[in-house]
Amino acid sequence: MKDHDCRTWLGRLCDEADGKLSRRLRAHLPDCPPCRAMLASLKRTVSVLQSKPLGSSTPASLKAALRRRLRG
Amino acid sequence: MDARTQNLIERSRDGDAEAFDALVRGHQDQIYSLARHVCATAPAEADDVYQETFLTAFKKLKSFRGDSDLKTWLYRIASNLCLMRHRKKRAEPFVPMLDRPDENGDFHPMDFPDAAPAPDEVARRKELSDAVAASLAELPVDYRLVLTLRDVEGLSAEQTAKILKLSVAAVKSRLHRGRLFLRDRFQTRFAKETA
Repeated sequence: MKDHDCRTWLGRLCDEADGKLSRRLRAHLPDCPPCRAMLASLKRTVSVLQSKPLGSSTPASLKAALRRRLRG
Repeated sequence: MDARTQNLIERSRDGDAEAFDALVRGHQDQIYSLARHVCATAPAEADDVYQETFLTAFKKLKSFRGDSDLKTWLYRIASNLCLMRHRKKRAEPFVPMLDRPDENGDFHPMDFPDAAPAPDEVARRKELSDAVAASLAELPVDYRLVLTLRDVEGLSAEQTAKILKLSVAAVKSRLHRGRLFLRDRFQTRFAKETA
């Protein structure tokens, strides 16, 4: 698979990195190591974000501060 | 919208603080997570966005018509607050590495390095959050919002478009560019960490 062909798949790789792969992409991947590697690294990137790396639990002090402002 | 939420909204409009507390409790972590990831390297700003979102919602609840669900409405308020705070500090326009031409203007596809350690292999490192925050902070806030709503919060492209008042195509375009940019940054940063 030539490089410029891989570029045409890029949008689809980005689109499908967090979900189910389309039939066309699944058919392309076995013959294209660069696209497979790209998809794997995009999946890892999405996976890092999905883990909510900066936190997802509101700190108790922040909840209390908001409550004070709402009641104030 | 379910009957319980509708009831809580009605009571909140009448000034029932307990009812509004219950609405806040149902959405606080989602709003905090959005603010924390979009504000990335500025946690104090994330705290402000979190508080301002609910204070604004409380003030504007009378005008909430229920055309969208409450979560979408709150995400929109929080997103607008993030945009207002960060647009002034807009970073230099960025170009994902893959699209960057060489000095002759020719395009060369990135060589897809496989040797760098995968982000998920070092995900337990304490430095992960700092590295992610620094990488996110390099993106313009419009891109951070799309990435956060789609990948951190797990919303669909359609929901994200509705919240940000963008077309689905614009959401997808920003998501593509943002993911490519972060992929490159993660590989660079994580490779340095393990060098």
